[in-house]
Amino acid sequence: MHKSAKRLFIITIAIAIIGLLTIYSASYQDGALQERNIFTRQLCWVFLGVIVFIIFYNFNYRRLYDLTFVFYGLSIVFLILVLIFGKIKFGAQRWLVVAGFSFQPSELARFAVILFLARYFSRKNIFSVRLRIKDLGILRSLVFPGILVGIPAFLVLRQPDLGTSLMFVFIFLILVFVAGARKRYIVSLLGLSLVMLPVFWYFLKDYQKERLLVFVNPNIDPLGAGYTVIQSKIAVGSGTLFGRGWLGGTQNTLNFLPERHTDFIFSCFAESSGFLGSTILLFLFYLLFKECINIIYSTRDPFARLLVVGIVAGIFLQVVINVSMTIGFMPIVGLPLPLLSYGGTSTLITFMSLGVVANISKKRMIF
Amino acid sequence: MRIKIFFKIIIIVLSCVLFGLFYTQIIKGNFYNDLSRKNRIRLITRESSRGDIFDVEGRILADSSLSFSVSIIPQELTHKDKVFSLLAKILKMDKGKLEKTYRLGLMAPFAPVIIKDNLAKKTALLLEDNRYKLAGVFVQGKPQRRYPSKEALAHIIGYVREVDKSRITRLRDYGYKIKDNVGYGGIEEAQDIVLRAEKGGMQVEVDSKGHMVRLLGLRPSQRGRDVRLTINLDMQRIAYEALGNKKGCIVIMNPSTGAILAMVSNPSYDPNIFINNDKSKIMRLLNSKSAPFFNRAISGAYPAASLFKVITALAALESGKISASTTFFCEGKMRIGNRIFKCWDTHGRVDLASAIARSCDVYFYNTGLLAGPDKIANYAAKFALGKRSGIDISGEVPGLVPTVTWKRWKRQAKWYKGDTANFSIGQGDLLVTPLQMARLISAFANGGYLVKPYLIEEIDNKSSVRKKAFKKLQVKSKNLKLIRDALIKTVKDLNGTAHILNMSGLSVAGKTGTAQVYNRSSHGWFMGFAPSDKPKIAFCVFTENSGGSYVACSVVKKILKRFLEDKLI
Repeated sequence: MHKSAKRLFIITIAIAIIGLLTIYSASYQDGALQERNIFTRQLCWVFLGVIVFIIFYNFNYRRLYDLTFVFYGLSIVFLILVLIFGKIKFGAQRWLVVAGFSFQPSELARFAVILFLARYFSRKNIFSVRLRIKDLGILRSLVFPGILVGIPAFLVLRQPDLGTSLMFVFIFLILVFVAGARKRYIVSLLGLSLVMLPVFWYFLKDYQKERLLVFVNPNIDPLGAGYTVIQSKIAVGSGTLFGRGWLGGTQNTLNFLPERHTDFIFSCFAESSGFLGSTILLFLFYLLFKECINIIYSTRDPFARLLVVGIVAGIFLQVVINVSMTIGFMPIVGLPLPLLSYGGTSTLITFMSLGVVANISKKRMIF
Repeated sequence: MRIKIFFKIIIIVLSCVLFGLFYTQIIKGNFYNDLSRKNRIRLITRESSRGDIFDVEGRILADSSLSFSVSIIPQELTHKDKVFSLLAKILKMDKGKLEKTYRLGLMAPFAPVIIKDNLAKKTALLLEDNRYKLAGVFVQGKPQRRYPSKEALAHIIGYVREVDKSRITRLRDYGYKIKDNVGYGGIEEAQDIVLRAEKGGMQVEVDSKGHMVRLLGLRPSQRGRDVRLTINLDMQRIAYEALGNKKGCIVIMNPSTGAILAMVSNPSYDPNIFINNDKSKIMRLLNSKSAPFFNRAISGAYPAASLFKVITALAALESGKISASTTFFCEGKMRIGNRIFKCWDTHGRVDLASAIARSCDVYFYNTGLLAGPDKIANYAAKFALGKRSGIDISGEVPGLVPTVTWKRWKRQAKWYKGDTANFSIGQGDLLVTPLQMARLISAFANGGYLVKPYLIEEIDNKSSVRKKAFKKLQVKSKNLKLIRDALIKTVKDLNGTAHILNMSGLSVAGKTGTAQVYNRSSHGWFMGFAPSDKPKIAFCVFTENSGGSYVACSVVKKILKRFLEDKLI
């Protein structure tokens, strides 16, 4: 393996191992989670993830350029299928069950959207080496790609999955920005988002509105929607500096913390490892992002660069939103913590994305 | 491409998140740690009962019974509607009302909400039988104080209630906590430390559903210790009944030990109203003009009136100013200075014995003027007037013995001969408590010993250390005997003021008193002892604004008659 790719791989595995240990601590005393073999299954997913990483490390990313619309099309089809046949868990229809395995098409859709945007914005001007986006009008630099991102985002919102659909919007904003769209377009896009907020509110389901209200004041419903935030804050906070030790967190082991193997895995981790552990984890993610950014600089292919930016943006946004919501700094939206939260699709897609990044680091001599 | 800016944004945002974690885990870490502990650790208190209070013969004056209450733990209430329907049926209450009580009491998912107190035992058992249908419903037994004697003993026993703000600040150092029950008034207050049960408890770790995971600590509760009083319940009841609806008080004690056999103050109150927490009744009593919480026997200071004549007589005898044969002529009034001092009757020529027996004021004006105010005050002090006796319950007042110096300091006024005259017959500024009078007469009954009154015979089966403290008075026994004979004459003599008490089968000795009160009718007094040759009891009866000593005497008569009937003396 290439040196940079090796570093990327090691960081990824390190984070995934932290995730496995935390999932073990979250499930070892809980009958229901034990029965579902959460830990063993996640171990398998990580193992599969490693294989996927190696496959995509050896898979020429330029072929993804050609496959963009296959990914995009498949995602749309799955997203529609999930709305029709999807399995309902926790009040949301996010999973497709294929041969006994639950599959979450919104994760794939996110990758497809990154792929599409990277391809769309990396096309060059025929007359110079400049990226086309710098010369495009608002219609073709914002509206057209916006609609193509909007379709899957809307489908995901219908599941309903507020978090992931917001991710699409953020990724779109970041890629438009990084690709170099005119500043006034970006400013007007941000303005538009603000104006759209009340309209957006109107489309939200009641429970989503409740979650947002609870974010403002968790005490309005301490037994209902506010319960999770309060318990999560207690878990994270009671970790203090050194934490309560692995398997020692009482919020976790005594079952006070709901969804602690998925969206609230960080609360478990922070309770047992304290501020020290939290800092180390965030630092690992920082190293991961830094490695990716270094890889961006090692290639001059704008498609590769935007692809990496999109992948980094995806992981980064999930980390920030997830951690912030566990300490009540952001409203609760159902987003997993990549590489730590239990979940096959999320794990595999993250390993795959990082495999693609690793492949990009290898291909630097082509251009 | 704006990759550098993008990376900078990543670093800035990650730093913000890290700061958020720092805030949550370090700055507010202890706060959340505390919450985490509260989340999983529950204190389950185990109550035990307060010590009982017995009378001298071991009859119950205050004890505890189990009272049942039904409560609901919200997080375990799974079938709300069904449970409330069944509860309504068993408790025979309206379902809507039950639900309202529950809603109003809701605090936290694990905190039990009391739905109903004071359940009948049958209802409690019925609830227990239906337990499997009533998930989340619990029946709890709690010891509850009982006062079977009700009003008759209220002032001696006191009552218990939830500690109030002013008292908790005083008692916090002794391990009292908010919501603890604490004694108020009487023995309940004075011996609270002895009587109170040590609360025990379990500290358990629970999971999110409130199920116990493990036991962290256990402290067994401990029953309070018992107190046995010197009170004789029979005597107490008779005394209370004898007073009827008259305002006043009665103290009966053993003259040779100082043990209080009965102590009644009327009007009284039923201490059980505090246990049932009957707010309207409590408020009515607290605001009542007749002061039912006031223990007249120790907290009331009144003019001693003619009772004080024994002190005046003793002072004059001891200082040699008069002898048994000294006589004075009573023409119904006497001029002292430029004021006329009246006697309540015209007695003619009287000697000391008949002056006491017939309570001649003129004789004692003369005697007092001979002895002088300082001498009289001196002897009053010997009998511990103007001082608290140090009885086992609180609220005692010292009373007041005026002296020449006192008047100069407090009133900035000269002491006149008229003051001496008033002082000699127990009027003027002199104030005594009925307990002091019982103590005074005891000294004449037991031949010159000043006993210390006490109420507690035993604590936790160990005899009280404070009892049997008495001292010999520095007076000639000849003089004591003189007065004692006069006290017998008061009852025996046809002209004696207490001739009404001359009954067959019991010789009584004593002294009457009628204390004039400005603008109101007079207080009646009688202090005495019986049987007069070998006194078993000494007593003092005080009737407030009753008209005069004959009212007190009639009360004494009722009491002694029943004592004889019931063979109590």
